[in-house]
Amino acid sequence: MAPAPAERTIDDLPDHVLTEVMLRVPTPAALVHAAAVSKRWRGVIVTSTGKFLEDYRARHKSSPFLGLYIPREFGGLPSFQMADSIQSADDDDDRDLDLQHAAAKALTFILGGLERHREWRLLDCYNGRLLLARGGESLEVYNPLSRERISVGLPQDFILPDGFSTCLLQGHGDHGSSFRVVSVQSHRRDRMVHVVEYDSCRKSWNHHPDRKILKNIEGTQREVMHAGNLILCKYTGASLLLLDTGEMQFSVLPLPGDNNPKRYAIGEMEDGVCCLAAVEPVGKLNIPHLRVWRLEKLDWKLEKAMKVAQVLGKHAPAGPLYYQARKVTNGMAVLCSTGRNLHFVIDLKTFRVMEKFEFNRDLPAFPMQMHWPPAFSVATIS
Amino acid sequence: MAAADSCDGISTSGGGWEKTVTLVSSDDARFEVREAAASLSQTVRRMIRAGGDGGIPLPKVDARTLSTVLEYCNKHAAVPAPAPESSSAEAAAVDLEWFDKELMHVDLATLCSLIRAADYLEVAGLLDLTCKTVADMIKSKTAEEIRQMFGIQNDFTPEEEEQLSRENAGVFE
Repeated sequence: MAPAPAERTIDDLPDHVLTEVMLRVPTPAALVHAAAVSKRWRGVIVTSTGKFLEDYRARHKSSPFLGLYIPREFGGLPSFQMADSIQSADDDDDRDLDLQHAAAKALTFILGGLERHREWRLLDCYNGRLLLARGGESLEVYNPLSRERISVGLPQDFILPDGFSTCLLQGHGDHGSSFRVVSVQSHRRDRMVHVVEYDSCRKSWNHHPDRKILKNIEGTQREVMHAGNLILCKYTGASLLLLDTGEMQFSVLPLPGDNNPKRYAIGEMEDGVCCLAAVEPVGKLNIPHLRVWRLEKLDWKLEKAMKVAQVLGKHAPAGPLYYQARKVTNGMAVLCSTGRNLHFVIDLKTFRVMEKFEFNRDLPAFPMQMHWPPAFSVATIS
Repeated sequence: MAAADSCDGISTSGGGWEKTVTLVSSDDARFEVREAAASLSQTVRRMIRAGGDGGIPLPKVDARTLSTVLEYCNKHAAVPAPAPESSSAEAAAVDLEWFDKELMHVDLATLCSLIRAADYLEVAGLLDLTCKTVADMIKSKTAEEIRQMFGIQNDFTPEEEEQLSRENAGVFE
């Protein structure tokens, strides 16, 4: 039998195999480069149904983590601390220039056209985009990597987000770049809350008529957190106010655990399910544990618990330090030492330290991930 | 039992308990392999079940490629399944990882032959390993660098190129 003809280049591979290769490209940034190689490669990655990107996302559930945006206490643009693993990978195999470029852009984000203004404040950071307030004038949604900036004027009667009441959510549209800005406006006088929402698809604000009287909620609103479609308002009391932004329905949710955790953070796991992370003393010896609960049918289920010392492992500094969970987003939690100099980013699936940061700032820092999906303009190139 | 008996291509090796099969490459080289190893290939597994004379023909894989595929299969089929999270399981995993890494130290043409063979033979683990190896080569490179590395023609028009660089502003430069 004659030997098979030598089909030994990448372009000789059939489409379904080339697809298998592209599904394993390590980062979305590398995927963008690959989609610009040739029409055939582009055709594999950018399909009209978006099937490939869907499959890619199923394999690479979270986008690469680039670093932390750290708000300034008295206003002004936040500072950015690059993840150490990106900055100082000295092994050629580990070094990822795509991520280094992206992180460098996240670091120099001001150069992309955000004018200096004393009254900038960082309100949220989600899916690679920042939500900034510029004084009392406007809100801005800014992608520090693409430098894309969308100005969102404030609606009438908008109570300026003095605390943390406004957050950035994924949009309703299929289009990956769509977003929503949702603000839970609380009126102290009559103890009512109501919601205003900006939808990037409709380019307009909407006041939702449902007003909630805070009967079962004690204390005052502190911080607003979000997980997928849910917004959870932290109160000084022992309950949370939960808002389902799909139906715009409020409900009251007790906190999990025996001793209601005072210091906790809520966000989503890698699979998008809402979860709460807290550092709590456990047992007679009061050994601090990191505990994570998942929200299932409006009920908290303890998912995982581990001694903080074990979670931090070799990263733990000598001497006793107390920790608290300050932020949860997209499968990551940020644990801070109470002196607030040390900040650990924890992978919530493995309970391993992804990154360690050292800075002294009181406000919770926002993890910055690369935006997903990449902004391919589908139809134009055949 | 009946299925195995009806299959003449399978001989039971004298020394051990292991059953072996004979695989025949496109250039007529014959490889005698443990059935457990050969069965990592779904294609071969189906052919064993179907039965046949004088070895299993694999007309799409040459001897050189097939020997590498079988090296992979022998290694991966040999690993017993120890209790997970035991220290020996960890050591075995490290050893396998090392073996895989060494196996992938080949030139691009060989790698492409291996991908095609893994796809045709349906050796899922090897297909994953080889595709991952190529995918990792794409990391840290611009589109032009990728084209040069793989010898791919740029078939975009200048207008399309301009549009691409605009669209990719987020990661370029």
